[in-house]
Amino acid sequence: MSAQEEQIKYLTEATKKVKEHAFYMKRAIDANDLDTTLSLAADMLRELKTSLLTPRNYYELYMSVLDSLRHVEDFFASLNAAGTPVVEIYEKVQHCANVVPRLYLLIAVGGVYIKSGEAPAKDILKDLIEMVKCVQYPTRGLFLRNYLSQTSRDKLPDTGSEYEGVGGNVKDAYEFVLQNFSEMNRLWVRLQHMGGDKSTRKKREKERQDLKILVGTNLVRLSQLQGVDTDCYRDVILPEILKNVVECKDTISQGYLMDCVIQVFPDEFHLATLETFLTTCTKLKEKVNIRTILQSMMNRLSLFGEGEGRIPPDLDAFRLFNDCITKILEERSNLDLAEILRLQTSLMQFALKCYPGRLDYVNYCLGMCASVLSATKSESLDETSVAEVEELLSIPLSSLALQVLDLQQYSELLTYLPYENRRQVATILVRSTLFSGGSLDSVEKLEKLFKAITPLIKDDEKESSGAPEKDEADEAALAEFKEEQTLVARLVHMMKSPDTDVQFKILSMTRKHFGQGGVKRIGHTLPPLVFAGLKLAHKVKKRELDAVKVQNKLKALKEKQEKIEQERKERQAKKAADPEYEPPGPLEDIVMPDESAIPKPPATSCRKVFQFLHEIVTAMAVSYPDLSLKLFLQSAVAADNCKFKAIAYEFMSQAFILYEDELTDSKAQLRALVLMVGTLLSCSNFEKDDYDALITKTTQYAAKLLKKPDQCRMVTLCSHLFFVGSAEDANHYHDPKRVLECLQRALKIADGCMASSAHVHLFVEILNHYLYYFELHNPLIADKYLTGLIALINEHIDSMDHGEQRTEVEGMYRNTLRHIARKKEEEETKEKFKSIVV
Amino acid sequence: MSIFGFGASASLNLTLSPPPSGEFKDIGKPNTVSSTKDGPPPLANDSPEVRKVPIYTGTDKVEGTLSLTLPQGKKLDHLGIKVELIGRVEMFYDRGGVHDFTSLVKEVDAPGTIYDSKEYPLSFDFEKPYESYRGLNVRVRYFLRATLSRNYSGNLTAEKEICVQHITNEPEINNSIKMEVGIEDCLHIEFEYERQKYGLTDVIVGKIFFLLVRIKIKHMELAVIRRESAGSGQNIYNESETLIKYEIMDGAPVRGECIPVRLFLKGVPGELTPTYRNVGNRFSLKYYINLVLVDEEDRRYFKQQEVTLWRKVLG
Repeated sequence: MSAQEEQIKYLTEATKKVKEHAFYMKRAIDANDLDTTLSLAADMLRELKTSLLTPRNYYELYMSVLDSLRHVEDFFASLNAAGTPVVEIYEKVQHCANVVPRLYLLIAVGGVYIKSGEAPAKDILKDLIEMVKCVQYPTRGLFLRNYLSQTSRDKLPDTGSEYEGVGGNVKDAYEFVLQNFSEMNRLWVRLQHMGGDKSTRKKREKERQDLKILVGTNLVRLSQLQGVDTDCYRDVILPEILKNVVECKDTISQGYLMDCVIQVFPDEFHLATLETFLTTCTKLKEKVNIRTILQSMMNRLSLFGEGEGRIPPDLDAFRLFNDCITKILEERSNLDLAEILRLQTSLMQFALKCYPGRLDYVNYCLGMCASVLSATKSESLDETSVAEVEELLSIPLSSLALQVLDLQQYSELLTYLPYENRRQVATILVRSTLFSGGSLDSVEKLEKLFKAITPLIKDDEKESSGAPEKDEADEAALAEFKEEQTLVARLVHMMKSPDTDVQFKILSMTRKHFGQGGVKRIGHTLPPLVFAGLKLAHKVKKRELDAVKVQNKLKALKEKQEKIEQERKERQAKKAADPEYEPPGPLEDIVMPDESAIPKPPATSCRKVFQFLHEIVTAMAVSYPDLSLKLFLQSAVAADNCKFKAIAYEFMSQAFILYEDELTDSKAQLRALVLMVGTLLSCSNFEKDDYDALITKTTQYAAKLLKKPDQCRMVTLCSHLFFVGSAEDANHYHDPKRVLECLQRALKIADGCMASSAHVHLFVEILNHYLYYFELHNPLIADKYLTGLIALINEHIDSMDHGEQRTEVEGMYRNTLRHIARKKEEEETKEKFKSIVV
Repeated sequence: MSIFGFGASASLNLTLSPPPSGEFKDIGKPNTVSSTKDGPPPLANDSPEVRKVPIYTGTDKVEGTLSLTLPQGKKLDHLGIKVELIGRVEMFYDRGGVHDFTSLVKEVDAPGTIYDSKEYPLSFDFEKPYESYRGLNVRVRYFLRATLSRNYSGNLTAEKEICVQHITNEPEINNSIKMEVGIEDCLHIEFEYERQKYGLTDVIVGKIFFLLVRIKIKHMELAVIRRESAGSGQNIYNESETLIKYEIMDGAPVRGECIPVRLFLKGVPGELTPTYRNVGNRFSLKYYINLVLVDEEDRRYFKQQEVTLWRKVLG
């Protein structure tokens, strides 16, 4: 029979006997026969004498006995109600010759005795707590005392309880519970030493774990006493508990009880006794995991700190914890590195939560770790330690974000991590920086940041990891890399300095760092930098303009002042010549503005910014032609806005060069062309010759596209380049002839697309453009072209296959015709549209 | 007498007035519920029936009435009526023996003829030196016996048992019992019982202090032992009875543990009596408490101490 089956057998047998005795016992109770009841109750309780059951099974048995014992309790109470003094029963149960049943019965009567008020509660409790000493067998003793604890729970002479007064006071109550606690702990510890060799030790420890709650309950009781205030807890309760904890010299007990203390008592108590508690921590057995204890205490206090309460300012909790940790580190040479790091990590976490402003605390913890790490001497850290350092460095990020860079120790610690982990930390750093929403407004700050996130910015010098190879199948790594770079890129949006000069320095510096990132990174990181640069260019421009304005104003003021000065001199001369001279009126006083209040022109000129942008985009051009082209175009628009004609032209030409040299894909070409046309249309400050060159080139590109429909559409689109602005605009550009050429060329091309019957569609589109120019009064776009084109469309549209395409074309065509019809009716356009034949 | 057809005959009847104490004792009643198993064997030569017997102290007067009942119209010749009060030690061992230590005779009527039923008041005022006792080998009895002597037909007799108990004053000297015992390097304990002398309803209170525990103790008990020694010189018969084994500790204590002892003598089955020392040079009765420690191999370590019992109240 296996041990387990045996257990079940024992338990079943014992439970059966208990039920049997209980049955007859209840009969005796019904017959109001005290003597028989007692004797049968003793028989039932005698089952609890067994030593065969494991604690778990003993508990089962205990519960079933207790179930029936409640009837006995009720019986005692009813006897008392009927006039029997409880003291008689109290004596009578003690005639029982067996100690275990006797004491259970004694406790059962004891409860009734206290309730009856026949004797002071404290006396009865004292007697009970003394008598239960007679059971020294650990398991039986623990359960007996648990019964005592349960029975007495609502009968303690606690402050405010009905038993207070004659029955005693809270002192009696807590002394009772403390004594029970102390004895139970001793029994519990003793269980460990119940003989047996090493093989049974594990089993014993497991059994003890099963029983720990019985011991811990006492602490819960203590915490429930109303009369125990902070002073009492500090002066009596806690010292007594801790004395037991230390003196029992038992690893399991110490660990469990310290944790219990933390969990069951209120925060205020902990705050009042932190020092005592921590001093005790240093006295625990070596195998007790002090870290978890300290951690839960710190968690507890930081939760308190985060909630409604505040850690009182006169309590230097951080120092206390730190002293404790320092002492432990001194005394325990066997702590492994990871554990030490964990300790510091939790201390730092505590500092972050409870002392949000105290960066020195965080720095201190990091420093401790750094010195521990430097003392280890070993070349590389083991995996757990690495994980710990990573954790250590990641934790402050969520609350401090960029502020960590002000911690001297932070970057030093980073160096202890391998590249991969440093990258992880860097990612978190960037993330929290982004989340914090602050601005990166100084070069120094950025320098530090970039140093810290180096692994994201460039590849490791030793290993070539970092950016995964393109052909690598590891998509996850690639995705991660992308995400990281996107994060880094987002940093650019946080670089905001009100001073354009500083901003320029920041961007230049950033560019320098990003530039080291290699081809794969710059695709992600440089574009935002370009946009930041464009934004800056606008600002600088504005500042320049402002400066000029101010200078002009100043000049005007100065001139005025000189005039007045001259006038004054003249008047003085006149006065000297003729003392009778009366000046016509007082002279205006010119107050020159304060030198320092005058906005200075930026040290970095707008031109320089554009130069900077040019460099950036050029650097990307080869690797990311598509993207660079767009950026060039964007820069061109910006430069044009700032009226830098030459620069704008340069940007445009760079874009064109890219188009010619790098864009081979027809779709990309098409996209680029659309953008180029768009850019050209939105620029308005080109020299005429430059503009001519650009648009001619663009149109040529359009005509050279691979696919006919593309050619057709793009040429149509290019026609607009020749007809910019309205005639009244100063820098309008109208070349009606070229417009017509473009449109006719487009028509011709469209005509060539017959095969796929796409030409009808194109015709309709071209018709729309014709209409557009017609309405704009392009002199060369005559009604005859429109009439002809409409006729052409009418001719072809019927031969189209039925289908979606046709429906679409028809719809578009119908709308166009409707537009024309409307124009024919409108008063203003009636005349012009009259001649168009639909 | 009725064999000869004389019909109803005369009879003697002893009636005792209630004793000054007003107390009676049930004799022959089983002691308590729990004693059925462990109780002493029934007395030899004892009537099994339960009867109520008045209790007298050593100096109480024994009063009563002797009534002679005669059928209507009869007369009775007699040689005299006397009433004896006898205190007697009965021994059941070694062929036994009966020794009357007290014998008082009172002539209640001179020889003559009695024509009518008659009552004689009785009053015995005498010293009753020993308590009534019903032991294993020894019994101390007191009884009244009335005898009407006649010539031809046999004598008429009547007997009445009484119970004598002595109430003692609280002993003036009553020291505690305190002792350190042990087995070298094995077990050292110090025990202390609050007193050496106990009233029959007292509680033995004490404590056991463990100074050194190297054996695996399973449990500890306190036994109450009664020892009856009858006879004298070479012919001493000792008879020990364990009245109760009272478990006072479960499991093994560690060094420094102090275990309380509390034993209610009232709860001890088998009627307790005071300690008797040398009753009429015939027997003694002593009580002991025996502290027993039992280890896991069921070895017993014990220490026996005599305690003196005394009677506070009758009953």
